[in-house]
Order: sequence, then C-alpha cells, then structure tokens
Amino acid sequence: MAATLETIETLEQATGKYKYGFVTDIESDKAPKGLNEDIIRFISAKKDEPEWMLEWRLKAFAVWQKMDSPDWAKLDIPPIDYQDAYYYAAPKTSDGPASLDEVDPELLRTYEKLGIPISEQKLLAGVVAVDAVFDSVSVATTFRDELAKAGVIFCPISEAIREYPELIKTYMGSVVPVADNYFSALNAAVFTDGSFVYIPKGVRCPMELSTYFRINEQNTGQFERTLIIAEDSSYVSYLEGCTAPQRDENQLHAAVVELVAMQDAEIKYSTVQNWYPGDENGKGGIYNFVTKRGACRGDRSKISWTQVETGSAITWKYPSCILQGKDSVGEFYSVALTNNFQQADTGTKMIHIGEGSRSTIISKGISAGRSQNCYRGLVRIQPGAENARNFTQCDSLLVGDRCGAHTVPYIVSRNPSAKIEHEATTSRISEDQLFYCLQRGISEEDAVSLIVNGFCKEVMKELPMEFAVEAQKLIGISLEGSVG
Amino acid sequence: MTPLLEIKDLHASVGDTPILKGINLTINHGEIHAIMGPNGSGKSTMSYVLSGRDGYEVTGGDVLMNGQSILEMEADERARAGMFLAFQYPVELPGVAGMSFLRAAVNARRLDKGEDEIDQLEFVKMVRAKAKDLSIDDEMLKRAVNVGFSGGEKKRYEILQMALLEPQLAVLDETDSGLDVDALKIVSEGVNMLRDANRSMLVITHYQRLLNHIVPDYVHILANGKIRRSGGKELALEVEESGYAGIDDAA
Amino acid sequence: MPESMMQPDLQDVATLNGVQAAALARWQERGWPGAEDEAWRFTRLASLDKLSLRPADANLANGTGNLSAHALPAGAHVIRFHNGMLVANSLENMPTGISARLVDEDDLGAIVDLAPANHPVTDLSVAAMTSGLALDAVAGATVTTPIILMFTGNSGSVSTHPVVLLRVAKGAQAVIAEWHSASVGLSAPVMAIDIADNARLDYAKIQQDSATTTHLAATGIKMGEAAVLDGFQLSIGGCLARLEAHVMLAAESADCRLSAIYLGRRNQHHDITTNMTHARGHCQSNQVIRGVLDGAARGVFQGKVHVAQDAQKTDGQQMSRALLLSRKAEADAKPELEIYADDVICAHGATVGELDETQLFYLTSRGISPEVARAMLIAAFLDDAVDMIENADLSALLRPHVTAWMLAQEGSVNA
Repeated sequence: MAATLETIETLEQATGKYKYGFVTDIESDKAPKGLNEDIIRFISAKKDEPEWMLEWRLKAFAVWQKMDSPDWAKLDIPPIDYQDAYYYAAPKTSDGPASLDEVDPELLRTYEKLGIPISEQKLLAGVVAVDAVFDSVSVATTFRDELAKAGVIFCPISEAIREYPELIKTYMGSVVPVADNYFSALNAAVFTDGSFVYIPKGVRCPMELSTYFRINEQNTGQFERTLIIAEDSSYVSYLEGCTAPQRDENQLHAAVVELVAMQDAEIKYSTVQNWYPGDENGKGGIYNFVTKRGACRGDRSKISWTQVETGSAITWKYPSCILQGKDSVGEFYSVALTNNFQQADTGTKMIHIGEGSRSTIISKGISAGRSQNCYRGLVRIQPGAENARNFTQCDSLLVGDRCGAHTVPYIVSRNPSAKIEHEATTSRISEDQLFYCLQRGISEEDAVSLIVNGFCKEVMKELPMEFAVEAQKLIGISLEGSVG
Repeated sequence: MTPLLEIKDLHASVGDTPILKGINLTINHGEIHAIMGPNGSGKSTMSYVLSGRDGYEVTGGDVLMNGQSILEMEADERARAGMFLAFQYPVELPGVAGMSFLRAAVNARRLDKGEDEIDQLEFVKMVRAKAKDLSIDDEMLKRAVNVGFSGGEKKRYEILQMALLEPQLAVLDETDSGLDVDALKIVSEGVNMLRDANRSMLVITHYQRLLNHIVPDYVHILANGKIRRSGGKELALEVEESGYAGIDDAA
Repeated sequence: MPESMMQPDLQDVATLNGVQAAALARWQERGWPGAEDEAWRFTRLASLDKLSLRPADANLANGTGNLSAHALPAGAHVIRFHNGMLVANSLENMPTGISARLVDEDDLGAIVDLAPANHPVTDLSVAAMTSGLALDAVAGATVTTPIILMFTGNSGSVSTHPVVLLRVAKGAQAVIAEWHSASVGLSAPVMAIDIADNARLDYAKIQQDSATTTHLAATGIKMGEAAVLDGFQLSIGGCLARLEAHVMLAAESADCRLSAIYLGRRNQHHDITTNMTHARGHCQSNQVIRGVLDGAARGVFQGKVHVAQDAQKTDGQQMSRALLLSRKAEADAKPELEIYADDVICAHGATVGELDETQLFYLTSRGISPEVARAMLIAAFLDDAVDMIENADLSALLRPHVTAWMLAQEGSVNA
C-alpha cells in the first residue's frame, strides 16, 4: 500500500499539470479485447442482466455495424480500431455495488485522491450523495438509505435493470434512440455502468446527486449510461465529474445520458469534464463522444445543462433539450476550454415543440495553444411552438495565434410568433486588460486565468458551489503554458 | 540615503517615434513631484515606461528604484517591488469580481515578500474600511472590476487599490481628468491620507487645479520629451497663468 | 453519367476548349449536390431533375426581351443577355474607360480561378456557356456611368449559362449592376469579379426572374490591397433561388460590404449564401442581411466568415434578420465564424421573428391603419440593409423593387 501511495505522489509530481493522471494499482477483471456478440453476451452475463436487455444490446450492435462514424464535426478524428480495445474492466475485489464497508480501501484511496468523498462519515451529512464508477462498474453509492427515505432511487444502472425493469423498459432509449447516432448505438450495445435516478412525484431531492467517472485500465473504453427521471413537480440537481490516468495512447469514452422531466419537474445537470487531455505535444488523451439529451415532456418542465469542459483530446458533445411541454424551459450553459492540441466540437440542440417553450444558450469557448474549439448548435422552432423564445450568446476567446475558434449555429424557425436571437463574438484578451492586472502585481499567468474566469462568469455562476471553486481552479490549470 | 527613484537620461520610443528624449529626475523618499505639460509632451508615455508596459521601448538611459535598475523587470515585478500606476483610463474587466481581483493583487505582493496569503475575512474588513474613506459603497465592491463605474468611481477605485497595495512610488496619471469638483475633492483627500515619509508620488497632470488639492514639493514642466523647467509649487501657478507656450525653448 | 437535363450536350457545344472540357469533367463527376451535402443542407435541388431542359444555344439569341418594362437609371449603359446569349450589339459605344468583348479561353481560365471552386454552378455553366462577357475597367479610370447587365429570356425549356468576367484594374472605379428578369427554366449565371489594388466597385444584383425560373448563381470576388466593394444583392423573383457569393480578401486593408435582401411569398425559396475569406490582415467586411417571408415561402441565409491565421486586425461583421409574416413561412439561418487569427474583432448575429406587437400598437394608437403600420415597420426593417448602398444610382435602381413587393400584398400578411 505504502509503495502505491508513493507511486501516486511521484507520478503527481512528475505530471504536475494534470493532477489526476495517476494510475491505481488494482487487479482487474477484464473481458477479452475486441467487439463482437460474444463480448456483449459477456458484459450482459457479468451484469446478471435479464434476457430482454441482452436482446436490446444485440439489436443495437447490429444497428451500429451498419452505421458510419460521423464526419460533419470540425474535428480531425484519427481512425479508431474498435477491435483493439477492452469493453469491460472491473476491479476484481468489487463484484458490483458494495456497501461502503466492503469497498476496497485502494479504491477509497483513489477517490480520496481525486477529492471525491465516498466515505460518508467524512462528509457534512447530507450534502452530496455519490455514485462512483470505476472503469466498467459502479464501486460505491453513498447515502442510499437516506435517499430511499425520500423515495428517491439513486443506484448503478446495472442494478436498476434488475430491480426496476419496468422503469428501464419505459424510459431507456426513449430520449436517445439506439440508432440516434454512431456512438449512441455503440453505447447501447456495450454500456457497462452509470447511474440511475428516479425522483417520485412532488419530491425535492434532499441532496445533490453526483457521479464520478474514472477510467483506470489501459486500452479500455468507458461506456456509461445515465438515466434520470423526474416525475411531476419534482426537483433534482445532479453533478458529474470525470478523470482518467495520463497515458500515451488514446482511450474512448462514449456515454449516453437521458433525462426525462415530467410536468413542473426540474432537472439541473452539471458536468465538470476533466478527462486526460493528452500532453503538450498532443500525445494521448481521451476521445470523448457523448450523447446527452433531455426531454421536457411535461408542461412547465425545465432542464438545465451546465458544462465545464477542460479535458479530453477530442470532445464531441451536444447536450440537448426537446421542449415538448407547454411553457417548458431548456438551458445550456457551457465553458469549453482547449489548449495544446485538444479539439472540441460542442454545443447544444434546442428543439421547440411546445407552445411558449423557452431556451437560453450561453456558450463561452476559450482556445489556446494549437487547439481547435468549435461551438455547434441548433435552434429549431416547430410549427406548433407558438410564442417560443430563444436567446443565444456565443463568445469565443483566443489565447495565442496558433489556435482556432469557430461558431456554427443553425437556426430553423417555422413559427412566425417565435422569436430567436443569436449573437456571437470572437476576440482575444485585450492588452489593456492584461497590463492593468500586471500593474497591480498579478503575474501574467494569474492575470490570464483571472480574465478568462471573468469571461466565463455567466456560466460558472450556474454551477453548484461545490463545483464552482474546483472549476475555477481547473480553468487556471488548463491554461498553463499558454501564455508568454 | 539612496533616492527612491532616479531617472537618468531616459530615452524611449513608441514604434519608431521617439517620445522621451533624455529625462533626468530624482525623487527622494516621501517627496511629491508633479509633472505638467501640454498634450503630446510625453506625460503618459512616461508613466507607461516607468511601469513597464509592452510597446514602450527604452532606447537609452536608466531608471533606478532604490539604487537598482528596473528596466529588465516585467510590469508585474515592478508592481510587486512597490510601483503603482493610477491609470488615466482604468480598464474594465468583465466578470472579474472586484474582491477577487483586489485579493489576488494583495496576495501576489505578500507572497513575494514571503508573507502568508491574507485571511479572507480580515481582507474584506480591511477593504471595507478603506473603501469607506473613499465613499465607495459595498454595492460597488461587489461589481466586476470597473464595469459600469462612472468616471469618478473608477478614479476612486484606483485610489482604493493604491491604499491596499501600499506602494513606495505612486504614479498618478491625469487622476483629475473627468472629475467634477466634489469627486476631485474625495480623490485628493484619499491621496493625501496616503502621504507619508516612506511613500513618494509622481503626479502627472495637464492642469494646475489638481495641485491645489495635492500639493507637490516640486513641479517639472515636460515638453517635447524633455523636462524643460523645474521649480517649487509656485511654478505650477506660473504655467497656469502664462500657458505652455514658449516652454520648449527654455531648457 | 447522370441522365439529368442539365447535362450539356457535347454535340451542341462543339467548340468546347480545354477549360470548358475540364469544367465539364468536374461536373460530370460530381453533378448536383446530394442529400448529404452540408453546403446545400437548406436548399435541396431534387426538383431540378423533374425538369426537362436543354442549355441555351445560338439559335435562341435572336429573340428580343422587353426592355421598356425596366426603369433604368438615366445614361446607364445596358449590356444584354437574352436566353443566356450575349447580344453582341449591346457591346457598342461603351463608356470611356470600359472595354467589353466576348470571353476567350484565357478569360475562361480566369473565371474558373475567381468563381467559387468545386461548385456545381461554376462547373456546369463554364462548361455549357456559349458566349461570355469580359468587362474591364482600365487602370485609373473613374467610370460613374452605371453599366447594367440585363438578363432576359422567354424560353421555359432552356437553361441559361451566362458567364461574366469583370475586372476593375488598379485604381479604377466602376458601377455595375446585374439585373435578372428572365423567364427560363434555369438561370445559372457565373460572375467572376477581380477588384485590383486601390480599385473600387459599386455593385448591385437584382434577381427578379419569373415565378417558374430556378435561379442558381455562383459569384466569386477577389479583392486586392485597399480595394473597396460596396455590394448588394436583392432576391425577389424565381421559384427557387440561390445567390451564392464567395469573397476573397486577398491583400491587406481591403474593405468589403456585401449586404442582401430576400423577399419571398407563395412557395418561393430564397437562399443567400456568402463565404467571406479574410486571407490577409487589416481588412474589414460587413454584411447586413434582411429577409421577409410571406405565404409558404422559405428563406435561407448561410454566411461564413473565415479568418486565416495571418489575417490579424480583421474586422468581420455580419447581421442577419428574418421576418416571418405568415404561419407557413420558414426562415433558416446558419451564420458561421471560422477564426484562426487572434487579434480580430468578429461578430455575427441572427434573429428570426415577427413584427413587434408593441411597435404596431404604438403606430395604430396614433391613428395609422394596421396595414400601413405593418408596411411602415417592414420598410424600416428593410431600410437597415438598403441604406448600406452608397451609390445613388444603384440605390435608386433597387429601391422601387422593394417598394413594389410590399405594395403587392397577398392578404396572408394578416393570417
């Protein structure tokens, strides 16, 4: 144990900038390399799944095989050999979700190192409940009893498939159909774990729920699936954090997140995405291909996405809202920061179907180094969306003259009473602002971090407190080496 | 005793245009010097050259602070060494909370001196106390740096920063510009409270009226890149009366 | 080889030279954009295949369009294309400082270099054209006489492929308008414009083809150092129209204004697509786009501003607004910023909506009838764009069309 800790510290010193780049030395149980029906059967068997789930997976696999990887994004994606990866890896000691006492201390230590509280006694009771996903399995879910008292279900999705098959059958794939896109089909075939949340009618979830995703194993893809259902007049705030070790080869992360908000329900979904971005020469890093979508099914329902994206070598991600309910509300607040050789193509889709539906998009893109950062968004007003409203503000900031900032909004309006406003700007940090800070004795690196955080303020204030401070620091760290 | 600031035959250019053409000036500890001059005489250039702004190239001479040349120091290093510039046009920093900004500046200086970062609560108390003297209310402190401030508010905010950063040398660049009589009084009183034996000031102004409020020990007339005349505070009144015409020749 | 009508018959175009042969080969390889083509996402051309057309040839050139129907600026010189063919005698008596002649193969090469590359209209029309125009404003000349390129036609079974090379030499100034008022199956003009260092072009295009004409234009503009373009496009006619213009700011300090208005009703489809490339620094570009859509019309604006890595100190601005007057109308927009230089000021904005109820109420509360109030607000909305035109002759040429469109109310305004 002591030796492992020492390794972690050495690694951390060596790696410096990406402080989550360490590897946990833990024995793991892996499926053989490659992707085929047998692997899918293996995963399904490992998860002790009912037959219908296996069939669903196999059907998805058949669909995926007929599809092509999307090429419309402003991304340069090297060819991915889907047969050269592991699709299942789990710490040997952890056979599915365990009670906290049974969790391998090595894992507890890992999460502690990541600053994630999964030992309940160390927390101020009842602030955040955590589901910790390590490679392909959920290793711990905290505060489950407390939540159960309120009627809230918060558990690994693998468990929900066994325990709540009716809910899963009704909702899984109802927001993001299997064949929606290449990566959602892949995920449907091979997803391993993720979180399931059910908030019953009229319940305001008593604490923040959060999931921490950690990729540890080499050559392993992570394919998690999250499903959140908020019944009438309920409320939940959900946080998601992601980290991975520093490795020279690229790893794939293809998640699907589905949110369903019924009448008067509200879901607030926040992400701080800090997957390993690769080194300063563009070597290594996670390929992050994520499909996140929420359906505002009920009248006056609300779904709010907030994301701070600083990690990953490649990000392909468009958290979206389907605004079906009358007077439903969709929000998207995003900070995407790219440095070195990172590429991000991220944005949102707001599909206005319901009368009086409203959406707000605030996107702040920061490009540094030799990175490429693209906002891509769609606002679609369907004929029935009487008096729909959209406001979009996309601002890009360039740090250095070797990077790119791009803005590609799509606007489709089919209802005259709808009002859509889109504004976008691109600029750099002004020399005046920088000098002002320098003259007050603030170093150039700190000044840039300060100004960039100011630029992101509108988005940062949407994050829950616990995340905001962390996210602010992250922006400073991610910009390191980009000035001077 | 070593003077606080020695400017020796300083030449500086912006692009290819020479602006400062041989400035000589010595400021001892605790002294207040005023630099007056017509538009385009090089006043603002001087403040930027002293504080180390990029794009202002020193082509000759030297600037010493406490006997050490500062020309090789970056702008932030000079600031931490005790040089403060009150800007003629303070710049807006959208989204940057005033308190975080002030604390970052104060802490940068403390860490440089080997001190610990300031306690957050203590800092807030300190800022509020100093802000009160300058009629800066809490609401203004909560806003982003200079964003939505009136001209007078911006200038008061500059003096607040000066009070917090306790510089050895404060360069006040046209601090009176854009101020009405009342605001000028508040700002000047703020500055005068900061006068002490260990703090020197270089007050740059076009008009004499500021010098009624901040009374200098010495007055220098800058024209066409050179100090043409130096004298006591009465020199300012003389200029007020007869204008800058003819100063160029009176080297 | 696709069996499409648009396939120029090699026997008809017997004089096919090297440039045309190459264009034909490119066209034959690619044809019309398919369903997956992102650049044509909002404008699909499937309907073209249903038409049976043949490229215009010399046999059709003898017709005479009706010129009297067009109010022209006093003293303007008119160069005519009828059914796609240049009317030779309209090249006589050109104003001093302007030379006009038929294109030769070198000119065609220049046209291919200037016009939008890899573009179906460029390739098809260069391959299928039988007479093209080379228009030159000679170095240093200041020509204030407006030159109107008038495109008429009366054969619904032809496709027309007029090709024009317009060069404004160093320090020259010229005022040119393109006026399309044809009733043909397909009008597919290619304009290749080269504005040399310190030259200025005041340019307007009016697309007022008949309700059965499909109008697909490919315009390529290259600007030299400190060159100025004051350009404007009005799309008002046709059943399906796409006005695509690519501008290359190829040297420093060029200044490009390229605004547009589209006005649609019935089942019209208007597409304004621009591609503004800032290849060098210190240039500015500004685009003001306004669209009004009534009936079941659809309006599309796609505008890309590309700033290359070396193009520091770029100022690129673009604002598009669409007004929907009817429940069946649709507006689509895809403004796009693609920026690789850091010291730039670039912004775009896009809005879609209906007339402001508060403003309408304000006007009617002053006793103005709702119809007049609407017309006033629409006129004000469009004026933002029309006011961009600096040249008085071009402004005078264009404005009546906007007014006439508004006067021809359909009733669906109130629906």
